[in-house]
Amino acid sequence: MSEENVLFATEADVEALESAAAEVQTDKYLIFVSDELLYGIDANLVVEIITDHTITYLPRLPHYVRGIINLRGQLIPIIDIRLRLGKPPREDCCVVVANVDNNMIGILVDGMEKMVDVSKEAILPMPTHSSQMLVSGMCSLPDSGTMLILDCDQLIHG
Amino acid sequence: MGSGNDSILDMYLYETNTLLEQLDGILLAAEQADTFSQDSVNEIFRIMHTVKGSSAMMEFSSLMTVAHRIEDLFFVIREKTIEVVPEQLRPELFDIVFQAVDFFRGEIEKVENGEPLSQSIDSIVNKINSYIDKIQGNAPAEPAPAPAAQEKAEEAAPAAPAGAALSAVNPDYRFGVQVFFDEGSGMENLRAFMLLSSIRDFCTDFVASPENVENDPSTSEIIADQGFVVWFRTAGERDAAVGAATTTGSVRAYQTVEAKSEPAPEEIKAPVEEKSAAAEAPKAAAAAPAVAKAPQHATKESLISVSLGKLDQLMAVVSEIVITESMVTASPDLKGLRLDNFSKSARELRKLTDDLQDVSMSLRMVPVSNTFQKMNRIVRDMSKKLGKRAKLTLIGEDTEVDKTIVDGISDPIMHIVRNSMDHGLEETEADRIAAGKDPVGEITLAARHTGSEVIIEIRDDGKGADTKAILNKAIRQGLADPDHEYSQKDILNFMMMPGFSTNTEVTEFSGRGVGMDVVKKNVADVGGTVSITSEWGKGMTTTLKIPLTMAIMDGMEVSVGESLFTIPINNILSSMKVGAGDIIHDPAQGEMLKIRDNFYHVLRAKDIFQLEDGRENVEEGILIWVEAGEHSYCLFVDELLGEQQIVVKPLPNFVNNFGIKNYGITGCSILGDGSISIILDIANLYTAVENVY
Repeated sequence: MSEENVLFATEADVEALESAAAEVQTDKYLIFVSDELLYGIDANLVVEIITDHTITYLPRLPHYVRGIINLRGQLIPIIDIRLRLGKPPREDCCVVVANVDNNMIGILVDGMEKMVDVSKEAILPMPTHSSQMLVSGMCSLPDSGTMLILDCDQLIHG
Repeated sequence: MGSGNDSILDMYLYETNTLLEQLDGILLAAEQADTFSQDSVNEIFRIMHTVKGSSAMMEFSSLMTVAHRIEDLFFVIREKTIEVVPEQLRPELFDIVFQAVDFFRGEIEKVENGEPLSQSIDSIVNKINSYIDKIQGNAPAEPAPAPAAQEKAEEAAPAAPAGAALSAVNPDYRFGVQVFFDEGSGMENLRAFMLLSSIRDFCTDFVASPENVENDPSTSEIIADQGFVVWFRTAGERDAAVGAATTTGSVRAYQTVEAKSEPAPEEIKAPVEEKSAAAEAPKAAAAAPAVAKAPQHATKESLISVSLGKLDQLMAVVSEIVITESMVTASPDLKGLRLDNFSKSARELRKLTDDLQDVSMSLRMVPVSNTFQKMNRIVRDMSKKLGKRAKLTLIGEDTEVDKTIVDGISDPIMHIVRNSMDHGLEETEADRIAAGKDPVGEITLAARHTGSEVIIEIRDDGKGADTKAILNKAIRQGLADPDHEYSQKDILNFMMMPGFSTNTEVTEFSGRGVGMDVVKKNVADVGGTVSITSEWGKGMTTTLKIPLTMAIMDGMEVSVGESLFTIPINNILSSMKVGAGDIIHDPAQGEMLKIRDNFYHVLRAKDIFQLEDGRENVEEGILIWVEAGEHSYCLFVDELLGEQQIVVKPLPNFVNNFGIKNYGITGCSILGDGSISIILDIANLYTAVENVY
């Protein structure tokens, strides 16, 4: 949308847009649902979203690693975020394929919501560090609701 | 910018390494003949010249200086032929050059690892310098003898003292700036050319002395001696040029000069020309043999170098094509249809993809000759050091192996050769003669193909392994049980256990705390095995069995419940159906099976991998008798699905971090229908299970 605006904008508009952009630094987040909570993942990390997949079980892995999938010849491990957070698994779900530090991983989530632009300042730290895992910050969304920002590094290394 | 530099660096490393290998070869051949042929002198000169030039370009000054000195040394030899080196000085010459090659190798390695280069090159440079003195019969008292080329130049025209009144080349251009570059910075002419280009940005009307710096490398020496002078028409232009000079790299000093109104151009010009002519003559001489050589090279090597990354990519794409092809031709949609034309085309396609796969695999194949040739050097150095005469015989050098595997086996082979030299061959020639052998020891490196494997043998005709000593040592180390009877094979295997080394003495070459166990591990990393045979008094043979490639292998597909597994065909001895009565239980709920008078463990894949479904009843499934290294056991699975050529895909890093490799899972392969099969590592699987019980 915004790209279209830029295309047809007059010079003055462009200036206005640019100055607006300079004032507010925004990040794009993809919002997904897992167990009725809204999580946001940095849109730059997201490679694609797939719904049709067959997970091959790999033995001897932590229970939340459901296995691997074959994505056009690439093997991608699938992490079930519900199991990771100690919640019961669910059957019908989709996979967000993300590239974190050159590790391709698939995150099993309940469903996709939308993309949002969030200004950097609007992201607040978590009040506690102990209880909630995998969340690096949170932020209120314009149309009510709160987005928890998924900590992908922790997902991979933690 | 960064990537651009990297690729230049890559090219530099590749080129220099190739040149050094070439140099090594020439040197070894020359040492054998105890003289340098004029051809090899020219070749060494050319190699050193190239190394010097490219190192100067990369600003590796230590490399450049040493290369320069060697180049000077060979310049002298080339001019006066090898006769200039008296017989008794020749071994020293070889040693010096070998030392220099080692120095280059070491420095190049540092560059590769991103470490800082060593600056202490004085000793090697001094050695070369004093050697040049010796062969030229110069008095050694002279501290830093000028290299021959420079001397020649100086004979032709005594260098004008720096900063002395300079005369303008052209009376119209009276305002000059004289620039001196950092001492030893090298390639002065190109630096001068760069300076000129930056001057050209604001002024094109000038005269440079010496001229033609871009195309004539011999001007370097003049510039190094007398500085580089640029003359301008006006003082203003010159001042601007001074600004440019200060911003150009490697400028040590500069001064402005003004020509007298009565210039004497002939005075300076003549010597300059004479000088460049003098310096040019040998250059031309150098060029002539090089040109003569060129066509030979062209026919010998119509090769291009391709980065391994691209080949990997190609291999990946080809694998995908192979898989996709079978997905298309075996598509369930086609079931029950009579498609004569389709099947015919599909067969054609199959043949083509097979060819494609073979070709793309062959691209990664390199002959083992490079690795083998390196051993020449090891044998040479060690036989000098240890005072044992030995010759190295190479057999099957042109045997080709996957590039990654060649890299993986280079160190193990080197280690084994060192061991053979150090411990294998008899201490003295008298011992050998007493044993009725040729006083010169022989080490044989042989490589050959057998279908899917390459076999590399390292044989020595030394004293062989003393099994009693090995067993005693193994018992002392707590590796062997003193009450147990060991076969000779078992005893030799102790040598490959961690912490075993038969020599109590640590020598320079072997016994650095690593031993055959490291060899075994390195070879295992590329999917190979090591075995040792030896006969007391006759020598020892170490055999490496290595798969041709790790990317593609033959596997047996088996199923357990929903899961698919691939067992490498090489590991499978046989498969059998057995009744429940054939299984023997032990008290710890372990199961065993008797095959041909031996008992083997029965492992159930379902239990090992904690699978939810899969057959329990022995009669319903099938037992596969497998063997890997010293482990042999039976694996119980549901069904055999068939033999298949599979493409090995490594596990994603994320998964590897959980250490599932230790549970006997090495990778995955994607089958024709897109499903994933898990490739089992038969040896690791067994050790994993052993650790659990």
